[in-house]
Amino acid sequence: MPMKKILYLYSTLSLIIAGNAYGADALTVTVARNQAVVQVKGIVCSFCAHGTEKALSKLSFLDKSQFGDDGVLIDIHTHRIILALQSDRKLDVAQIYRAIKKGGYDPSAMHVNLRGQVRRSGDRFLLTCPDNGQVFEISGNDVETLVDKGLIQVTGQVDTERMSALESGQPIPVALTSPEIN
Amino acid sequence: MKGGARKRLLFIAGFTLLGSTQVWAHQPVMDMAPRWKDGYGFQIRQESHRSDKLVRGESEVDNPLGRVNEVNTTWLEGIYTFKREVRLSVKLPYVDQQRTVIHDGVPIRQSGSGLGDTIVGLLLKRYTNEDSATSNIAITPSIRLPTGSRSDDYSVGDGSIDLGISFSASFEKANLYQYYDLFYWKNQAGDKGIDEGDEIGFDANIGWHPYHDNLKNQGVFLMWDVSARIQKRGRNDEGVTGGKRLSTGPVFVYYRQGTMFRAEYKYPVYEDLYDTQVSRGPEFNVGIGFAF
Repeated sequence: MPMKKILYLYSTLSLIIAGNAYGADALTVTVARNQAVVQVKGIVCSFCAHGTEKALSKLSFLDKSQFGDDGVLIDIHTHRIILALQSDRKLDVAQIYRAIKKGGYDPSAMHVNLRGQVRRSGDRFLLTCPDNGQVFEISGNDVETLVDKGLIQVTGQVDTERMSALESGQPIPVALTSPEIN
Repeated sequence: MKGGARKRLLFIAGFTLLGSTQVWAHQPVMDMAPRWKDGYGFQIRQESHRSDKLVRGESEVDNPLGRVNEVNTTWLEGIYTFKREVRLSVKLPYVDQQRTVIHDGVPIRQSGSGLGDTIVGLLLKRYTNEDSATSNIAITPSIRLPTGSRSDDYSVGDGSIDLGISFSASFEKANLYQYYDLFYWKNQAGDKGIDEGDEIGFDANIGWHPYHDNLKNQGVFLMWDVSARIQKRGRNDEGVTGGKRLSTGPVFVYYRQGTMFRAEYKYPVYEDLYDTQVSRGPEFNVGIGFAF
C-alpha cells in the first residue's frame, strides 16, 4: 500500500509541475544597442550553462562592465543569451557559435542591432558600422530604400547555419527584421 | 603545455589529493554539470543513516537487546567531462560506522572507520537540445574497487571487485527537472565471509525550479526523490543481508554560478528484509559541489 501512495503522490506532483512549464518561446526578441541576442536550444538551466557563460566571457569583444562582470546574461526562461558588445570592437559570430557549442548547447538564431551606413556593392547591400568598421551583408524586402540614407539603425537575424564558417573580416549576413531610419 | 592538458593534470592531481566522485541518481545536480568540454567538478557530501528498528520480513519486531546500526559516510566525488557525451567520475567514501550485534545473547558494540570502496564510472551520454527543453540518456558502466579497510570489526570495505551498470534519462525545462536511473550491481564474494547479493535499484527525482535570478545566476530547486532497491539474499561479516526497500523524501538545492548546495532527507516507507535485520532508517544527505 505505501508503494501505491508514493506512486500516486509522485505522478500528481509530476503533473502539477509539468503544467507550470513556461511557454516563453514565442516572446518577441528585443535587441538593445551594442547587444547581441542568441537563441539557444536546450538552455534551461544556468548551473548547467556555467561552462557556456565561462567560454563566452573570454571573448575579447564583450563589454565586461555589463551583466555582472562578464558581459554575458543567460535567460533560462526565454532560452536566450544576451551579449553586451564593445561598440569599437568587431563582432566575431564564429567565436560565439563555437563557445556555445563547446558549452554543450546549440545556437538556433542570433539577433543583432546595427547602426551604420548602407551602400550597394553589385547585387549586395553592405552596412558598415562607423564605430568599428565592421561590414554586414544585409537582406530584406525594403533594403534598397536604406541605401545612402546616412546613419540608420536596424535589427536583424544572423544566418545561424553560416555562423560557424564565417571568417574574421568577412561580411556577416544579416536578414533584417526591423529597419528604422534615424 | 596547452590549457586542456594542464586542466587534465590539475584534475588528476586533484583526484590524488582529494579523491573524487561518481554520481548516481541521488546526485541529479551533478548530472546537470559539467556538460561542457574539459569541464570538471567535485563535491563533498555527508550521508548519514541510523536505526535501532529491527525488521523481520515486512514487520517490525522487538529489539530488547538494543541492536543498532549507524553509518556516516563522507563522499569526495569528482567528475571530468572529456566532451559532452563522455564523462569520467570517481567516488571516494570515508566511512565512520558503529553497530551493536548480539553474540551468544550478549550485545556487543562494533565499529569501523576509514577509506571505503572506491567507485569509478564512465558516463556515456546522448543529448537532445530542443527549443525550450534539454534531455539526455546515459549508460554508465561502473566498477567498485576494494580500497576499503577490512581490519575493523565492522568492516568499511568488503574486499571484492563489483561491477555496475546504470541506464538513466533526464528531462529538463526551465522550471521542471526529471531524472530516472535504473541500475544493477553485480556483487562478488569478498573477504571475511562477506558476500553481498546483487542489487537492482531505481531512483527517480522530480524537481521544480521556483526561483532563478538570471543576472546573479543563482536559484533554487525543490525536488522529490523516490529510491527503490531490491537486493538478493547475501551476507556481510555479521549476518544476512538483502531484501526490498523503498524510501522517499524531499531535496533542496541552492546554486550560484558554478557552486551547488544540496540537502536531502529520505524516509524508508517500505522494507521487506530477509531474516531479521536492522532497518536502514531515515537518511540525511548534505553536500556542496563545484563545477569549473
